[in-house]
Amino acid sequence: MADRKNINPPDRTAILFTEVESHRGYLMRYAIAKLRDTEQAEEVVQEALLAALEGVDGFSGQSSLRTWLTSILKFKIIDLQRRVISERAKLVTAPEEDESADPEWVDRMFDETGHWSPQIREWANPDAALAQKQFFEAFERCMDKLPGATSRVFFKREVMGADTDDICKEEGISASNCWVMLHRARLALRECLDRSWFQGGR
Amino acid sequence: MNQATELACKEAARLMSRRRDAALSPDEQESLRNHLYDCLGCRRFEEQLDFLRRLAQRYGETGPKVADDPA
Repeated sequence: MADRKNINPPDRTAILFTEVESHRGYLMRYAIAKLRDTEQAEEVVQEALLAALEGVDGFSGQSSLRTWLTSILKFKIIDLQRRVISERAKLVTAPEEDESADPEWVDRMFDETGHWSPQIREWANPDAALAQKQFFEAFERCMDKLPGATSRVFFKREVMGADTDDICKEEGISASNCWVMLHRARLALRECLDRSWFQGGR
Repeated sequence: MNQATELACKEAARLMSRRRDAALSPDEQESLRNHLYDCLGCRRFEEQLDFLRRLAQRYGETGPKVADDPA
């Protein structure tokens, strides 16, 4: 009778590696939201994944693997930020988007009287999609289509659950600019999920 | 008559989004309530915004969660 505890250590490592590796895309987006720099994000994610594989015995299984990996990543991000700050003064970043009129693609969702065009259609059983890996991949592809700052603000607000005021401060933008960016992100993501998943595009 | 004005969907969508991030004024709340009462498209939009929030939270917590052992 096969005993699961007797899986050979190399096999266990391989299984673990695949499991941990499957969270890389999420961790990259988390790191980019915090660091705004793809290269730095790759560096910290790599460090975090290595640390996780080395310290896997510290994973109690009480939280999800994703939550545990995120907590390791947070420390790596703080480490990196300390190193960067000690090397050079903190960058003052200009807002990447202003709060001027809606871009054309927003206008195209509405007719000239401001009504939905096309009409919003119902999503059939959306919660069932939450159990599907492919649906989360579609969600990632949709997030990747957003402009950098918009994607970052959405990620901080809806994925990390950060307070809008804190996001504004971190990003150096006004509250109204923040709302505009969040609104555009939601409009675009809703439209993208509708087109790529719920209306038979999968 | 009150101060609340009639909204088009475009403005209603903006308010539905903003009230997830900040409080609306009483007039804005009233206009939005009136609009939602009459507008099926915007009620669906709001449901989909709620779903988007659940999706983002799930994404940050576990990623896809395969239902208990599919048979």
